[in-house]
Amino acid sequence: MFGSSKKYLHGAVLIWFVSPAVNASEWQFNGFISQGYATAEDSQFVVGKSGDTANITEASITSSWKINDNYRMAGALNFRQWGELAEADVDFDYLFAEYTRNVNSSLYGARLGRFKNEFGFYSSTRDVPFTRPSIMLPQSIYADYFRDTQLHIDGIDLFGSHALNSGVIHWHTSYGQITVTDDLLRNVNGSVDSGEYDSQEFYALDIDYQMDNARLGVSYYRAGVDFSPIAPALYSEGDIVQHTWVFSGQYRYEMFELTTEYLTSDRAINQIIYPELLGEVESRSSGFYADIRAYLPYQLEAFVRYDQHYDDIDDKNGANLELTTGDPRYYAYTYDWTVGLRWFPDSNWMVAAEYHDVKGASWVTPLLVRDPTSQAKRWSLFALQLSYRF
Amino acid sequence: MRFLTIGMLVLCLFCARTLAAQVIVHDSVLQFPTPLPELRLIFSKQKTFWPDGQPIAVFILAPDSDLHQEFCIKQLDILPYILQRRWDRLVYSGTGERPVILDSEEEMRERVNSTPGAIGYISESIALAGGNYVWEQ
Repeated sequence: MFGSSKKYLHGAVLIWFVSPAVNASEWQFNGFISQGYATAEDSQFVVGKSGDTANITEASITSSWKINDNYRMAGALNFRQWGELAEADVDFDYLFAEYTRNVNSSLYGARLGRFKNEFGFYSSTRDVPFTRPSIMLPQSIYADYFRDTQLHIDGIDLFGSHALNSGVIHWHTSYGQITVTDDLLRNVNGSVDSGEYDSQEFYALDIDYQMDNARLGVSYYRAGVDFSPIAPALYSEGDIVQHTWVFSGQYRYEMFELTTEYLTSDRAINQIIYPELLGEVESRSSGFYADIRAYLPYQLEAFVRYDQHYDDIDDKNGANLELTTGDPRYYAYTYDWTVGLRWFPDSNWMVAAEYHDVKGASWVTPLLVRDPTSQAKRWSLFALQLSYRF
Repeated sequence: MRFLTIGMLVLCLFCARTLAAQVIVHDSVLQFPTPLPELRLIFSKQKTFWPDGQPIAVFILAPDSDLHQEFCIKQLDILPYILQRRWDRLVYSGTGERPVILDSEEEMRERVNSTPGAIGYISESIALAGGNYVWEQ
């Protein structure tokens, strides 16, 4: 939707971000900057060949301008680099005009422009260290290789919220297109020279019930990308379509919080790496995690998480994968145990550290060009991150 | 949380300036006493309308201020950084706004008294001095 007008929009919105003409009482301005470090053993995931990376930087400035009771504009300009998974880039994470109307203590509204994909509990703030639960999100649900499909949508979002008992229900229905970046090519095909992905139509539905100490959610999206090869000898023209559901639950009891999410995703790959005669190659992947965290005194938070993912639920141990591709079986699944600590010395700063003990490599990039010589069955990753918000 | 609350109370003994916080509202919302769970939803910006449809304007002091910390722990029974994470989710997804952060209790008093649908808090000693619609739970 933004395409060639992107530069013009960048300029126009930068002026809006710093414009003194807007009424300060109707205008909010927030942001953060964050620097991380990661090191991995027996894997090049995130860190690349050197085994570690400090190219883990995130920064954002956000602005919300409430024009009156019914109209609002909001935008966020992001900088992000994430080791091997995302090259340094600046882009609008969202930028939309919003209309809301209140009817009998319910809220109805529409957003037009670029808005966040509300998928699971964390996709809408997946790039914000303070709001996601860990430095690296559970990859079974929020796989970094397919982050383009979960990040934001250019289109229209209809939404509402309603008081129900002592909680609030929020819902969204979204239609539009995803932004496809070079990171998708690199993380799926292994090289940006292999061709080009373009978004098909995208639609999504999300319902979320927030109570005082519990939260429930269900999300669905349909995302598709068309692929046009540059080197037809290696790849052929085709597409990938995903229908994905996520069910989410969270419960807080005193200082403890339990979060769990379950994903099931139907994927159809038409050619690209498969011969035409196979037609659409369909498979169903599934993922699940359970996260227990304690909110301790002195603004300290500790968590343990178990995260599991199967790339194809009909081939959980990878026997078929090995037979058809020659790749080791451990590319069919991932079991990731994570322990982590987060400390908030004051309300602006956060220091986070986590350790992943992983078996399997189903979400290790690049997905279509695997290299078992650099990727072991058992591997680990340690990450540190310092974040400041204003 | 009981352990935490006792811990915080012990800390408060060493903090002579700390006074109990008291919720105040604009006179347009006096007829809506709200139970604690809903009060937490209001201050975390999850619930944004009063039962009569009037938008809720939430005012707080700086998240690091003693009074805000104490208000969260003693009145809302929630750790300040958990409360902030909830509104951060709205702010950084672009779907909502954080509470308006004010510089002083005097400003809090003025803004709550002059903004229809407003809710905020001040320390008990200032509340007792009069002039505010102190909310009875």
